[in-house]
Amino acid sequence: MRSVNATPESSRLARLLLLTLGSVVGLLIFSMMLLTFTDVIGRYFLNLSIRGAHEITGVLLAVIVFGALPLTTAFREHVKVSLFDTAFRGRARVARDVVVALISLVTLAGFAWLLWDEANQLAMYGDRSLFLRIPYAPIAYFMSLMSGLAALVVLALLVNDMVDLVRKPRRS
Amino acid sequence: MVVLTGFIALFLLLFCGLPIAFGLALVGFFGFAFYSGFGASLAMAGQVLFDTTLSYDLSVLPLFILMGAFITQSRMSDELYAASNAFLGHRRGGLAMATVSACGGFSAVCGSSLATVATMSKVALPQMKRYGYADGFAAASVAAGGTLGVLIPPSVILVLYGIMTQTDIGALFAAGLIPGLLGIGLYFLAIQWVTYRNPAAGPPGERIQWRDRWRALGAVWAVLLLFVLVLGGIYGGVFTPTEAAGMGAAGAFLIALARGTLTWKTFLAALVETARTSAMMFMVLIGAMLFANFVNIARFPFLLADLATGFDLSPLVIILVIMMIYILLGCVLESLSMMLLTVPIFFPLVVGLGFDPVWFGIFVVVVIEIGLISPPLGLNAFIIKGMAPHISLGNIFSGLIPFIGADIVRILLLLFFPTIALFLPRLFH
Repeated sequence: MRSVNATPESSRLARLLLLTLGSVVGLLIFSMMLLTFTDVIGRYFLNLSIRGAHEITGVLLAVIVFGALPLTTAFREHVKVSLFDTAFRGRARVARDVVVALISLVTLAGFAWLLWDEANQLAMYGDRSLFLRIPYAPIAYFMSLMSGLAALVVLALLVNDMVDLVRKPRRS
Repeated sequence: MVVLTGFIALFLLLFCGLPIAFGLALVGFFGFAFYSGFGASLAMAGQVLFDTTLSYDLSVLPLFILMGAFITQSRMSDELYAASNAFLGHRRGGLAMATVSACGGFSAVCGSSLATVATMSKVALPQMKRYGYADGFAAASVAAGGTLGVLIPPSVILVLYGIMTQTDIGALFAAGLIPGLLGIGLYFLAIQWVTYRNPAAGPPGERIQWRDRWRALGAVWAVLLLFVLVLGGIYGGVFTPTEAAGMGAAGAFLIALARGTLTWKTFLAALVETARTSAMMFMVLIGAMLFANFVNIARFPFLLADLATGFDLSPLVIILVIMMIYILLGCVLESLSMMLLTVPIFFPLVVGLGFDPVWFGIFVVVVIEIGLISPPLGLNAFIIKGMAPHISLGNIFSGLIPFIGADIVRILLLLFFPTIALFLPRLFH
C-alpha cells in the first residue's frame, strides 16, 4: 500500500524489465477502462454493444493482476503486519528477513507450479471462453510465468539485502 | 482444534512480517490438505488462483482504484477544501469541519483512505495552522475525515465484502450512504464538543460572501457530477457497479485531462500504481479465499454457531462480542486483510442469527474504520505523522479520542436502528 518512489535496488536490466512490464500492464488497465466505457456508451446511447466485452475484460483482469505481481513484489508493497518489527534486532532481524523471504519465495513458486499444472489441464481439455472462444491455457501459462518471475524478484531482493548488509554491517 | 492451530500458525507467520496474502494462502492450503488430502488441496488451490482473477465482475476493483488515482492526480483537493471552507470556515472549529467534509467528498471519489489523508493533510494542515488551530486537533480532523471514504460509496472495501459474501454490491453502496453522512455529522458534533471545551483549539475563520461561496462550489462541479453519475447510475439501476467504475474512471481521466495536470509521465504513473495496488489486493483476496476454504471444510462457522447456541447467547451479545474481536484485531491487522480474513468466519453465523447481510457489511466497515484511527496501529495517524513530522503521535492520538467517541456512537446507532443502513437499499431494490 505504501507508495515507494525509489526504484528497487536492482541492476539496470532488471529495472528495464520492470519498467516495460509496468508500462504494458498500465496500458492494459487503460484499455480495460476504455473498453468498459465504450461498451456502456454504445449500449445505452447507440444501441450497439461490443461482442464479448465482458470476456475480454475478464481476461485483461487476469493478465493485469498477474502482470503487476512482480512489480508489487519488487516495490515491497505486499501488506504485512509491522507492529512487531521493532522486536527483531541485529542478528534476529537478519534471520527473520531471510526466513520471511524464503517462505515468500516458496509461496510464489508454489503459485507458479500450481498455475502451470492448471494450464496443462486447460490445454489438455482445450478449455475456451463461451462466446469469443478465447483459449484459457495461454492465460494460465502467463499467470504461472509471472508468479515465477515474482519469486525470482523475492530472491533478487534477498540477495541484494544480504550484499548490502555485508558491505555496511549494522546499519539498521 | 485444527482450525485453532491454523489460526496460531497464521498469526505467528504474520507477526514475523510475512506478507498477509502469503500467510493466508499457506495456512489455507495446508489446512485444507489436512481435511481432504494433498491432491484435493492442490486442485483446489490451482482453481482458486486461476478463477479468482479471470472474472468480469472483479474488474470493478482496478477501475475504482484507477478513478481514485486520476482524481488524486487532478489535484482537485485544493478546490474541494476551498469550497467546504467557504461554507463552514467562519464557525468555531469551522476549518476542522471543512476538513472533515472535504475529506469525505474527496475520499468518496478517491476510495482510498491513505491517499485522502496524504493529499488533504497537505491542503488542510497549513490552513488550520494559519488560524491557530491546536496541532493535535488539526491532525486528528484530517485523520478522522480520511476514514469516511471507506464507507461512503463507491467503496473498495464494500466491493470486496460483496464479492466474498455474494451480497449485491449496488445494495451495499446504497446502504453505505446514510451511515457515511451520519459519520460526517457526528464528527461535526465531536468538533463542536472540542471547541466548546477549549475555544482556543479551533478559532473561527473569516466569513465569506454568498456570491463567493457559490463560486467556490462552482469550481468543484466536475467532481460532484462524477459522484452523482457513478452513484446515481448504480442506484438508478442504469449501470452495474463494474460499468459505473469504468464510467467513473473515464470521467476522472477527463477531469484530470481538462485540468491540464496530466502529463505522459503522471498518466503512466497513475496506471502503474493502479496495477500494483490491484495486484496487492488480489493477492490478499486469493489468500483469503484459500483460507476461507480451509475454515469452511473444517466447518468452523457451524462450530461457532453451535457454541453460541450452546451458551444460549442472545444475538445482541454475539454481535457485541464480534465487535470487540474486530476492535482488538484492528490493533494488529490492516483493515482490508482483516475484513477478508474474518468475514467468511462470522458471516454464516451472523446471517444465521437473522441479521441482514447488507447491514452486517456496513457494520463491519464502520468497525474497521475505527481501527484506522485508534492506537497503537491507526494507519491514518502514522500517515499524518509522516506528512507533518513536527506533530507527535501522542498528540495526534489524543486529538482523535473525540472522533473515536463519535464512531462508537455511530456503531451503537447502527446496532439499535438498523434502518439507518437498510432504508435506502429497500427503497431502490
